[in-house]
Amino acid sequence: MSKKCLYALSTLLLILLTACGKKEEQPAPAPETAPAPAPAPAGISVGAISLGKAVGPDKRVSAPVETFAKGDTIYASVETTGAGTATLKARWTYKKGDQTTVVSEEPQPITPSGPATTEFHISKPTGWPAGQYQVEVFLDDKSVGVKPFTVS
Amino acid sequence: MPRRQHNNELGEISSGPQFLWTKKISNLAPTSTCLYIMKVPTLTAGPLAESPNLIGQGALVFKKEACMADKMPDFSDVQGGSSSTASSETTYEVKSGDSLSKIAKREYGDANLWRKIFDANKDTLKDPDKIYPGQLLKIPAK
Repeated sequence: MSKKCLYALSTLLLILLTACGKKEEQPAPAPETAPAPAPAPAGISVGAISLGKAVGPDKRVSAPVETFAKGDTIYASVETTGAGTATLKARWTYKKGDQTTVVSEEPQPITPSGPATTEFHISKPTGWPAGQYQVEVFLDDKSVGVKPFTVS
Repeated sequence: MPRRQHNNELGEISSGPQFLWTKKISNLAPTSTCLYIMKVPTLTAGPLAESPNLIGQGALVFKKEACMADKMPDFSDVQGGSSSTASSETTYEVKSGDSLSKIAKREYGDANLWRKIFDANKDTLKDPDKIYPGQLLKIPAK
């Protein structure tokens, strides 16, 4: 092999070796960072449930009571926190011995962006029968609280 | 003459003067049957023979007073509603005798605003004159 060929071949080998070396010298790409976990979606939760004979403009019971008179309008005030869209429902029942009857059931759609108050109320023109009652509150059909009360 | 409860004899009553029977019934459970049958001999004369409670010859039916108290009260006239600081709408349950104009009068003080209620409930109301008890209507803010 002529000197020229040898020289060319050496040069080629050198280029190839350099290229390999350069490749090996390239820093390894940084590992992809795992995406940050998505924040938990905002939800609505029910807090206090109060019973009373009136509510203010803020929908809150003025003076909580658990005993009502025959001619009273009965209010249930439900505090919620969180944001989103949901349906609150109040189921009012009357209990006598081992029998229970639903007096009224009322859904209320809500779209709070923060703390909110929802009121439910029932009235009976002919007067409430004396006895034991309760109101059960549901958030999207899931029971979140029960408040018993009495009419005397 | 025997008295029966659930086909169990409770005992006998002997008549007093003028076909009058009095005997205190005791030990009855509050939720027991309300009807009691008193079997009597065939009656052909006397006040019992003319009693409206006589069901054919041979028995008298009477109803325990406490049964009336066991009956559940009537709640058909209960009116319910709701509102929320997190909603611009309230919900109203239609009662017998209601109309959209009556509801508008009650909610807004102006019966002419009935159309506001109708428009808010077009998904469930096809005819503003046809609402029925128990129906839930959205009442938009005034």
